[in-house]
Amino acid sequence: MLLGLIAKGDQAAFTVLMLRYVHPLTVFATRFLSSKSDGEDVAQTVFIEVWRKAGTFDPSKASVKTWLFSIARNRCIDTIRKRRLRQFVGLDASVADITSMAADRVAEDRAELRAVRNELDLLPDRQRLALLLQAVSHMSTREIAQTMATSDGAVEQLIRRARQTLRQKFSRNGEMRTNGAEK
Amino acid sequence: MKNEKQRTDVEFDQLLSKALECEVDEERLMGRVYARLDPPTHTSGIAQILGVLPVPWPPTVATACLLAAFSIGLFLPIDLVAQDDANVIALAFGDPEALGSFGHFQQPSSGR
Repeated sequence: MLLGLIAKGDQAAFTVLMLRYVHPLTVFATRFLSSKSDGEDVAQTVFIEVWRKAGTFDPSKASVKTWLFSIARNRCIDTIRKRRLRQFVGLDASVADITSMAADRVAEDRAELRAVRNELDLLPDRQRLALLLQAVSHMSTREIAQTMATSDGAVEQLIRRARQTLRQKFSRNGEMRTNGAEK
Repeated sequence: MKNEKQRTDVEFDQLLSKALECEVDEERLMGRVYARLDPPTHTSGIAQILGVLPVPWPPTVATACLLAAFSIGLFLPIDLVAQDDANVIALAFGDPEALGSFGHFQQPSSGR
């Protein structure tokens, strides 16, 4: 309904959609890319694509939410590819530098929160993606599977592995045991 | 043992949830989207200069373009420039964070 209106150029409907999704999409992309500016760029690109391609949305194939997050996921992957290419040709800072800059920005945060973020950055992309879709966008397994174009079983396994990896760093007293961040 | 596991599960979920929290300036972001969808007509200046160059440019080219644009007063908001280009400009300054040091760059070019 909302996307139908947007496809007809209804700016008010577009604003409603943005108000509803700008926060979760930005948080998802920011955390996935470990960069606030890259996360904001992805969110911006998603909405521009929505405005231009709303007419192609097929409600029989996906919900609005999964469609939006699928676009965000694709743009995040594009960003990572560009970032890796730039690192390869020496135009960009290394992943370690980016992680370090991100850590500096949140220096006031509690050590264990910083440690969780650092560990999250080290997860394989697909595990991080699945975990973030669950934790940030509160999607069901089915919705995550649709967004990632994979099976429900694969999603469950990705999330289980991601959580296991993070939990291995999580001690009984609720603190993270990580490189240099141990309390 | 089971209770202990449940307790740590809950603590872990809370910790993860907190770690993922992130401030979002929704109004500014929406302003950026509107600006990209409906840019002002005077997009001559830096946006056009940057738009015709191949990407990725060497940092020296980006720096030269930016300095040239500055020198003739073509101060257009960065929102008018493709983000790839903006990143290259920032890199030209030797630090991606340099982008944030230009206050006027962070303002949406037009809102509604």
